[in-house]
Parts: sequence; C-alpha cells; structure tokens
Amino acid sequence: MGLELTRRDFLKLSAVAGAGVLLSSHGLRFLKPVRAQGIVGEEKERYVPGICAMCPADCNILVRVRNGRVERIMGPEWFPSPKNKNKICARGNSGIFRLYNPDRLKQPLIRDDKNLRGTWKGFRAASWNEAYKRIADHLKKLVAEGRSREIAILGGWLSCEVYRTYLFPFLRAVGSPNGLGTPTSQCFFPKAFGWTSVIGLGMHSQILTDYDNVNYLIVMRRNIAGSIPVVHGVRFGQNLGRYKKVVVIDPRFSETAAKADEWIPIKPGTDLALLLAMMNVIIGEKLYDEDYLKKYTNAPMLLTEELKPYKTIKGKNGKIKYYVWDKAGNRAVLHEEAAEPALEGTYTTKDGVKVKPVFEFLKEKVKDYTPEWAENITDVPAAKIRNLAREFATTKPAAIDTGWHGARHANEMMTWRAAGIVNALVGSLLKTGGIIFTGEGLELPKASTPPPEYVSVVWGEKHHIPLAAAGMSAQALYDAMAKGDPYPIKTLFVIATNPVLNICGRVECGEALKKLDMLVVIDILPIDTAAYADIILPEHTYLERDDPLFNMPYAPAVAVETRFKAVDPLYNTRHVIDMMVGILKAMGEDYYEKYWEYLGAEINVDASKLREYYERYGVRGIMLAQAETRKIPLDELMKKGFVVLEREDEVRRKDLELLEKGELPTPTGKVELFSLKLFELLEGCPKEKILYCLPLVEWAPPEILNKRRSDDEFYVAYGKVPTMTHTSAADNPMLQRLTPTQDYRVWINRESAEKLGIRNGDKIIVKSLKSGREVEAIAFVTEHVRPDTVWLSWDFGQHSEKLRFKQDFPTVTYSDLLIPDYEPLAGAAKKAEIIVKIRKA
Amino acid sequence: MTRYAMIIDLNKCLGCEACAAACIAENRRIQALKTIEKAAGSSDAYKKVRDFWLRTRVIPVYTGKYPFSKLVFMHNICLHCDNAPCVAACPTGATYQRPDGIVLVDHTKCIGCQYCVYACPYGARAWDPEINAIDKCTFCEHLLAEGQPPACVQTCPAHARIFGDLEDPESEVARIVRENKNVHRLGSDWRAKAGVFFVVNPEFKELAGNPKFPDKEEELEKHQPLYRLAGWGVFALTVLGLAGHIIYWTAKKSGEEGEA
Ligand code: SF4
Ligand code: SF4
Repeated sequence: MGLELTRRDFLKLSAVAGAGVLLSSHGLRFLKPVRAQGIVGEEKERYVPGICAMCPADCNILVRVRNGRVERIMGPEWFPSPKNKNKICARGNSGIFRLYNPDRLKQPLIRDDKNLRGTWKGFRAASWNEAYKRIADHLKKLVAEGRSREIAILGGWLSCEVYRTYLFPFLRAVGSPNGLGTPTSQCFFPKAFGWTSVIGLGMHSQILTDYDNVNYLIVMRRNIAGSIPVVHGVRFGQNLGRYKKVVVIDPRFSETAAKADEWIPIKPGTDLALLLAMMNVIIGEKLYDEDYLKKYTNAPMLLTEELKPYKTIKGKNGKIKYYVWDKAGNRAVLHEEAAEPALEGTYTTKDGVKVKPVFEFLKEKVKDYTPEWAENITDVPAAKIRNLAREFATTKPAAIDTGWHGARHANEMMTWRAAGIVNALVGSLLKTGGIIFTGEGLELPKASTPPPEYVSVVWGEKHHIPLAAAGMSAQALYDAMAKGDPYPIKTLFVIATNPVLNICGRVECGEALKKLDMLVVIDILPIDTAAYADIILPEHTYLERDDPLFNMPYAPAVAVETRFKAVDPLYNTRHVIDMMVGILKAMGEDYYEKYWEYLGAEINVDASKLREYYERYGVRGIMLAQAETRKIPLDELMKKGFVVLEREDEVRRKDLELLEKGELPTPTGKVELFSLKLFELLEGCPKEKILYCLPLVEWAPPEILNKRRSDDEFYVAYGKVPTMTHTSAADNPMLQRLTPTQDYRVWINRESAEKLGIRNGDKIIVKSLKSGREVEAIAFVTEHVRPDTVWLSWDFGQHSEKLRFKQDFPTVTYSDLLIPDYEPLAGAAKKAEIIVKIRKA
Repeated sequence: MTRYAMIIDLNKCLGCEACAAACIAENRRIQALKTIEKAAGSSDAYKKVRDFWLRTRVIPVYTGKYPFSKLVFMHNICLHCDNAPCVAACPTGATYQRPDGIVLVDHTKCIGCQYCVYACPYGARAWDPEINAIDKCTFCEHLLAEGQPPACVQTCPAHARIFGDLEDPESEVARIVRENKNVHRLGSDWRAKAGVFFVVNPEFKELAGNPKFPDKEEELEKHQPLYRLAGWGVFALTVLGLAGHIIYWTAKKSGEEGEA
C-alpha cells in the first residue's frame, strides 16, 4: 500500500497547499535558495506522519526517514495540525533517541523464581509463544475457578488516552471488570471533576483556555511553559506580548512565571482561599457579569434554606429544569419562562417555602472570605488580592487557566470548582477568550456505568468515597493488592506506566506487587516496576508502530488521527494490541472471537470486518476498518496523519450554541454555580469530609496548612521540567544532556538555606514526615521559591540499574515521600500534602 | 543581496529547549548516536552524554531577589558575524563567510588547529572527531537550500527564534530589527556585526552585552558574578590566539603563494 510519502511528494504538496503556511509561520517568502534543490538518495527518503508519544499531549508529527533510519522528527510543517500547529517540544525532537536507545527491552523475558522480584536477577529470554502460553494458561485457570475479578490492568497515559478502548475488550473477554489508569486518580481527576461540576467537562483533553483571545490570564497550580504540552505551549507562547497581563500563582518561580507580568508566590495548597476572596471582591463590588449569570448559569436557581433545590423537573432533553424568582411576575417560574430572573433576595413561594437564588447564597457565603481573611491563609497581601480581582473582572476577556495535572491537595476538587466559578462570574466560560470546549469535549461522551464488581466501585462503597469509580482510584487497586481490600487482585498487567515511581509509596507499592500471583509488565524500557515482573513484554516504540484511528484530543477542532510506523521494529517487540489479541488467541478461539465482538461494539465497526482486516494488515487493519466505516478519506489521512472533520470556527460556534441553548453536559445544562452533581453525591460523602464536597463553594483547607513547625521543615511544591515526562524520559540520553542542572535538584530559598548551613550544590537529606523515609538530594539554593517551601521535580529518582543513562547523582524519588493515601472525594492522590525536614548530608 | 539573520526573542522564549533538541537531531545525530553507543558501554554513561557538545544551547539565568525573582533564557549559538574573529583566525581558509552571511567550515580544508575555537567569543565552535573538522551552526544551510527553515526555527513553539533575510525590508527579521526597541546584538562591543539578534527587555540588557556564556549551567552557577570578567579573559586569550594565527597564517600564506 502506498502509505508513505517521499520528500519530493511533500515538497510538491508544500508548494501548493503549504505556501501560505510557510509564509505565515516563518515569513520565509523571501528566502532565495542558495543551493540547487536535491538531496542524494531522494527516493529513499520519506516523511511519515505520526503522533508523538513522548508525553500525553499527542502532537502530530512528521518523521523523516532515510534508508530505513529515522533522521528527524518534526512538527507537521506543511499541514499544521489544529493541535500543535507545526511545532513540537524538546522531548518530541528527541524521540529518535528513544528509538535508538540501547537500553530498550528487546525480547520477551520470563522469570520463574518469584523470590527474585524487585531485582533484575533470574530473567531469561523467551519466545512470544511461550510468554503468551504462560499467561493464557494462568488466565484460563482463573476463569475456570471463577476468579476473573482478580485480574486487572493498570495502564499509563497512553492506555488512558487511546488504548483503553482496545484493552477493555480484552478484560471483558477474560471476565475482569478491572481496567484502571494511573493518570486518572494520580494525575488529573480531582481537577477535572472540579471543572466538571461547573461546566460538565474538565479533562485537559476536553477543555482549552482560549490563549489566542484571552487578555488577562491567571495561571494557577500549573506551569504551561515548563510542562510544555505543545498544544497549550504554542498558543500561550505565540501570544506573549499580546496579553494585557499574565499572572502566575505558584509557590515557585516557574518557567511560566518567567513570562508573566506578575508572580504571586502563594502558600502551597491555599489557592482556594485566594479564589474565594476574589469572589468576595467581584461580588461585593458588583463587578460580575450580571447578564451572563442570569442567562447562562444557574445563579438564579431557587434553593430552600437547607440549601436544597426548591423544585426541579426533568426536561425533554434530559436536562433538569428548575425554578427561579421572576421579578417581573413576582413569582417562581421555570428559568426559561422568567422575564427577569432574580439573582438576589429572599422570597416566599406560593406554597409558602422560603427560597433564595443560588447567587444570594453565594454572596452570603463569600461575604466573610475577605481579602484580609485570605491574606492570613495564603500569605498574599490583601491589597494584591483585591487588585487582582478588580483587574480580572474589568479586563475582558479574562480567564483562569484550565490547569492540567490536579491531584496535589485534599481540596483539589474544590479549588478548581472555585476557579470555574470565578471564570463564570466574569462571563468567561464557553466564550471567546475564556475557557472553551475542544473537539473532543464536544463529542460529549456518555457516562458509562462501571461494572458493579469493579474494584473501585466496591472499594468506594465500602470506604464512602463517592467518586472512586469515576476516578479509577489507584488506591483501590493498591488496597486490593496489598490487603485484599475489598477483594484480592492477584494478576496484574502494567502497561506503559511505572507504579513504583508513580503511585503511593515506592516501598509499599513494591511490597504489594510482590504479593501478586502474576505480574506482566508491558513497556519499552527496563523501568523500575519491571524489576518486579514475572513476565516482561517489550512494546514497539511509537515510531515503529501502526495504530487504530483515534479521535483527536486537546484541539479546538473535531478530527481523527493515527500513527503510521516510520521504520520497521528494530527488535523482537510487538504492539500492545497484538499482545492482547495474542494472549486471547492462545486461550482459544472463543476468547479471540469475543475480543473482536466486544471491540466492534465499542468502536461501532463490524466485528468480522475488524477481525478480517486485522488478520490481513495487523493493527493498521483496525484503522482501515474504522476509516472505511466512518468514511474518512484515506489518502488525506495517509498524507497528514489526521483529518479535520470540523474546523475551529465550527467548534467555537457549537460551544456558544451549547451555552445559548442551555445544553452543557451539566445536569441542568447551565453553568452550575450550584452543582447538582455534587448535591447528589453529598449523601455518600462522610460528615468529616463534607467540606471537600459541598455543592456551592466552601473554604476547605489543605491538610498541611500551618503545619510547618521549624526552620528545617518545608512544604513541598513539585512539578515537571521541560525536558522530561513524569519518570519516563530520564533514560533518554539527549534529554538528559539538555536538562539544566538545577532541574534535578531540590530548590530551597536562599535565606532558608543559609539558616541550615546549606549551600548551592550541597548534598542534603530530605526526610518526609509523612512516609518517614529519608532520601538524598542535591540543593539548588535560589531566590525562586518561597522561604517555607521546597520545590522539586518528580521526573527523576529512577533506581533501575538497567537504565544506564539515568543521572549519576542523587535525585528524589517522589513516591518515597508518599504513603498510600487519598483525598476524600475520589480516592485520588494528594501528592503535595506532605512536609519534609531538610538537613545537610 | 541576501543577509540571513536570526532573531531570538528572549521575551518569548519559554526555555523549552526544543530548538537545541531539534539541532541535535538535524545536525549532530550521528555524533549523538555514536556518543550514546560509547557511553552505554562505559561505567559513566550519564557523564559521557552530559559532555556531548551542542551547536546551540539554552541557558536559564536566574537573577533578582525573592520575591522579585527573575529568570531569562539566554541562548548560545554562532552569531554568523561579519568580520568574524574565527574567519580571521583560521589559517587555512577553511572557515569562511558566504556572501549571504553564513559562516561555514570547509571540512576538507580544516586542519584541526582549533584557533577558531579560541577566537570565537561565544563558544560556538568545537573540534569534532566524527567529521574530522570543526563543527558549528550552519543556519541549517542544507535545509535553506530547499526552502525549509533552520531546524530550531521550525520547531520553536513560541516563535521565539525567527529567521529570514535582513536585506529584505519586508521580512519579519528586518521589520523587528527596524521597529523593536529591545533588539540587541550580542557582544556589539566586539565590532563583529552579528547575524543573530536578541530581543530582550532592558532589565536583562546586561546579558545581551555579555560576550561569552559558560558552556554548562554548572559553570554558570560557579561563575555567575564573574562571567563578565571571564568574557574579557577570553578576549585576552583571543588576542593572544590571534597573534599566533597571524604568525602562522603569514608563514603558511607565504609558502602557498597564489592560493585564494
Ligand atoms: S508536547 Fe512534546 S512530547 Fe508531548 S506530544 Fe508534543 S512534541 Fe511530543
Ligand atoms: S524552542 Fe523556542 S521557546 Fe523553546 S527554548 Fe528554543 S527558543 Fe525558547
């Protein structure tokens, strides 16, 4: 199949379609070539479109291949993607050194002696058939014994974003309800749910700050420049200089702070107090957008004095309709029937119920959250907060950034909910220059009910964690492995994630893994977790694999995309889908056939076609069957790697339409200042945790608040560095080369360091008061972090002896500072709820 | 005439290092792969890859006092100077400047004396055993020849590296040099008219005037207060070096009369 393009094709294409692009992106129109065009071996050179997998941002890429070797990975220069335009980051550029990394896993490995778990001893090379057979026999035995629920998959962000669709049918075929992802509860769920409680969506792939149009931008608990997902970085970066003001709220002076007009070094975990004080000012000084609130939000919704909706009915479109006070008729009517919905006041309905609009409650609630009150908590001067609120409300359009990661503090959900409400008060949500839905967001995924035996469901019910299932709580998995709570999980597939470094405590997690009957690790590198495996299955890198058709995340466009393999696999590796299918085939024809049946149902493609195409073309066949079914023009897909179905203007139009029609994916279809979803969950929320799940807003303190007792104790802010992706890139030799020295170190304020006699570059001991463990690190003594806080990157701390390019000096393994522990709403992580004690080594 | 030039807008640069990474892939890939291979077989793989030389680097410079902290991402790259010290220093004519401003090394003529390395005030050159010649930034002239931008410019998410023809008044580079008050030439006190310009706010102007940045952040940390001084040290070295070249060059020249 002619699925590849030569440089000549591309230059031809660029001459026609790309001319305008070259012009607009680089102003290169006037370049006069100084050497005649033409490169030796031109026929042997081609550009293969693909999707970067160096981080979860999924940038579209072009891979230049010559004589079967990858030479360069670049952004889609001639056909800019609606996601990353034509740009990629340092990690994307360094993908070559992942492909050609000599440390890669090169063949399946089996270890027979379970006692050697946690070490690299005892592995032997095995054939795929042997590995499949061993797993298949084990799974069949479990199925026969009715122990299917003891099987689980723990996926990383690749699984979470795209492969889950192809993993769930595998689980279903073997009868397991347990598909979990590390990213969800460990990374973004509490943040996502905070946004969802306001606008119905909240994953970073579903919502987007409108960087191209916003004038006043507040970035909080986030480092756009330093984490550099290009989809956001390119928009944020290219608009620098145009913004009226960028304010960064962060305990540490980040790369984003370097670009901001103002840095507010807030006390870790207290952003919520600042947001509440902003509400106090915006409402108190009547700076809010009254029309927006009346029209698009449930601010006028009548609540009884017990803070319950006065009256609701189910509308035809499935949305909940509610009553407001119509000032025109002086009575309670449905929102849509009100000529003049009241935002304020206390009323008595005909049936004698005392009611107030949501906004009135909000106003009363935030009355005490004055900037002075917040100053005490946040350490941000009241005058500054007041000024920030005023500027934010009067410089339009203004937005508080969507964030990305959000599993830091116990109050994570409430913090992001408050950010959503502040945006709503100034009329930014779903509007130009505010927060918009992406193409993926517009697809408004239907909430599926998890299987009743799903470990997070059972665990959540038992421990009163209302959102444990939706949040795919990894804590549930940990408890199931470590303590058999709520039931034992004994067979685990870990796919492209590194739980030993990414969840709970490194030691505890390792101990839990040791209790398994079987651990299968699927990865491309000999990561720390792989040392605990019984079977290691090596995967293709993203440059060696074809992929199914995916819906494009993140972008303000509706599009589909795929990966084409740029080069043949270098080693005896396979695609994870091949592995799932291979194991099921080894279990027997029934299982194999079921996979296609379930997959077909999942992706709406005829099962027999899927099977037939897969058998003929491999994973590329799945893509072909999808493209055929969805009528995606294949030539365009092959050329660009993506096909846009609805462009940005269309997406923006639809966003507005959802707002206008009141069809947001919230229960009421409106922007919800009072969350009906949270209201519903309130029952399941235990009393002592109620602060963290209230349906309006509420000050919910972080656990570490004011717990620092002495000069050698510090709060912890953590983050990413631009050259790394979580713990997955530290074995990339060139990314290691590019990483600035201080990014490996523990940042400690100069004055605070002096008190402890610590100088820049000194070896220090970091002791977590939570886990009790002590780890070695190197100090970066700086003016760029709060005196009471240390900052460190969680990208490092690898221990695996097989990763030869890892740093040769001590770095902090973040999971060493943690214990298995979770926030109250979703059983998600709260990774910054720790205090560390620091001393010179 | 064409005068290729690059603008690095430090107000926009996010410090993501995509530019440096793209440069490795485009221009020093073979060297990188060899280094990796060698490093993998050694007991100090990390150190070996950390020593890998880069044509262009991004150097975070932390200044200010809490809470008035500041951070700017300084860049190191060959400036493609007119009257370039390296061209003057090269005894064989291997280092030359094209009419369009690009300073290149003719590998066949390079004898590895490394005078140019000492002469360059910016640390933009290094001996490369792989190509058996001096390696340096070429503005990706092989890509320019195809109408493609340099790799670093192509990849920069922030549009902080901008490239074009200075002589073309309508080009983006010419417009920025003309209109932006904050455009500086690095080391303008060198009288070496550079082909690389920096956009940088007045508060960081000091940096733009600084003749040399240390190669590694480790050094930067050590020398931060000293780097201005260090720059002059290099200058002194260069003067000495130049004197050496001139003697060598004159001797050589007289022996090879007639060569252009
Ligand atoms: S942001 Fe960088 S690493 Fe992430 S997908 Fe894009 S190019 Fe790849
Ligand atoms: S790619 Fe652009 S934004 Fe990133 S470091 Fe280089 S110049 Fe700065």
